[in-house]
Amino acid sequence: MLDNKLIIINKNELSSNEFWQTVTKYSPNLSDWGVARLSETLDKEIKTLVIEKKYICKDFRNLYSNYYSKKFKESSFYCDRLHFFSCDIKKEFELKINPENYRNNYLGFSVIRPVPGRCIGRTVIDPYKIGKSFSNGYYCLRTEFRVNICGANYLVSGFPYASQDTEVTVCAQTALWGVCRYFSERYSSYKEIYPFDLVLLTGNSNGRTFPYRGMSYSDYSKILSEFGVFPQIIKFDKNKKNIALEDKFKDVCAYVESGFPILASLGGHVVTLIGHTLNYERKIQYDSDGFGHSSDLIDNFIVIDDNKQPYSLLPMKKCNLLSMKKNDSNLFIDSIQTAVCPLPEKVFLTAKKARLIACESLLKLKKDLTIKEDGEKWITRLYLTTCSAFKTFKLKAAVENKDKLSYFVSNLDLPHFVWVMEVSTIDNYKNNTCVAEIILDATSGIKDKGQLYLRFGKQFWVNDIGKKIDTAPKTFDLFTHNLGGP
Amino acid sequence: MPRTLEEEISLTVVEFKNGAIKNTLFEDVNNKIISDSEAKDIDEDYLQYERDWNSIANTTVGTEER
Repeated sequence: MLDNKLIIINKNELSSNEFWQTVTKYSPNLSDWGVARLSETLDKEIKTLVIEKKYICKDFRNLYSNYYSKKFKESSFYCDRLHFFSCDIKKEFELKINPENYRNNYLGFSVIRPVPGRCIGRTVIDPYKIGKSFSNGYYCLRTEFRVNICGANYLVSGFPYASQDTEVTVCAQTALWGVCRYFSERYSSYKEIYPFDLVLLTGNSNGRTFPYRGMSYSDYSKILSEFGVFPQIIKFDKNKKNIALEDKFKDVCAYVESGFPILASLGGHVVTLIGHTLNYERKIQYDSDGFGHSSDLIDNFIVIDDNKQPYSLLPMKKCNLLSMKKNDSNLFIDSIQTAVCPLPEKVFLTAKKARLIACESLLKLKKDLTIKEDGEKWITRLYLTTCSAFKTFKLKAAVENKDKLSYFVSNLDLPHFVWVMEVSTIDNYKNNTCVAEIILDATSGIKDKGQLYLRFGKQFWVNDIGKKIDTAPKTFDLFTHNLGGP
Repeated sequence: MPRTLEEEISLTVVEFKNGAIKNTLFEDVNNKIISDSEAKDIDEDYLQYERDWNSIANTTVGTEER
């Protein structure tokens, strides 16, 4: 209780090895595996590391109380918490008394658990501060976590990461914990869940639930539904040749674009899809009506994979599943076999049906208007969002672009969740603009008239009337709020 | 005299309705979707989902990579 609580280590002229060796000297539970993950993530940016000793981590204490305390071998229930800064900090006093001087340089934290090997516990690192931001082409989910360092308040925005401890939790529980913690931290309506809660919620019809037991999709479905999100399960054909050509892949991409973390099973392993990167040079597969899908431009999913560093990439690389070795750690988007998409209760219309209604409407419009401009090739992007986020965006766009139609949208009656399909030419898309959008009621059934409005340039259709507003701009902004955009 | 922001971007429902043209775009599309789905098998999507689900419900995931 009277030991130093904080230990400050400056990187200065130290090499990466020397720096992390110094850290492990003061935080001996940080294993070589842990050092490798943290140095891969932070080496380019970190200037100072602060070790907070004897940290009580609510997640590890939950595992300790329910499992580690029952073992013969003694172990500690205290963790260390490492805080990362991209500036030099010389004195502990400064860090605590003048936090406003250091908040912009706070990269995040990592809890180091007293377990062998996979020691990294709850970790939140801001991807924007380690070169993985919207402006660098990383479109990914983040939410804000409050951090208290000996009385000084800091904030970090990121997606929760932890390694599996390999005794109680394996990747199934770890990925699920990250998804639930993201939701509970972002939306106050979701209850906080701890790692052993997930073990207790796992069905025991297949024998004991710990140590070292994976989960089944029935477990996933039951746990997520009890948590308050309702999963849609998308299963891919094991013999698929190219996932990008499958409609189901477009559905998964629509849910990723919607800002939902997706649990993706890659054979025996589970990772969480939290965003993507784009490559505009990728070939777009246009259909016979001239519609392509923005999923064709995705070249990596950004994932939380407990075997790798946070925000690692799952590349879009065609591979033959049969030729993959069992222990091959190189996984690709093509390796995805099943995706568990946790949806809000009131999203009744699935991505598949939303795409059908939106595309049919656009096709009819295209034929009615005999649109021939821009080579008749359009890229569509489908996503779900809340009415409030969408209206906030439209109101801002109305003011910035002097757009009467965007202003008009902010006054419409809309349901809590809406599906949006935006339509762009490739040049529009590169510039974050679109030429058309159709909005659907996410609570509608397939026989309801789900279209709320459709806009094509200066023309606007709502209910059973349409009108051209000559002063409205012909192109308007893409909505980028779901995956970290401004 | 320069126009105010309100004059530049405001568009009321009354202004929009004034001069708007009646059309059946959404209704036509909906009728087509309903007739297409009835021509196929209205329950096929649900049955496919159920088949997919039954084939994986008790599959264990998350045990290979340690």
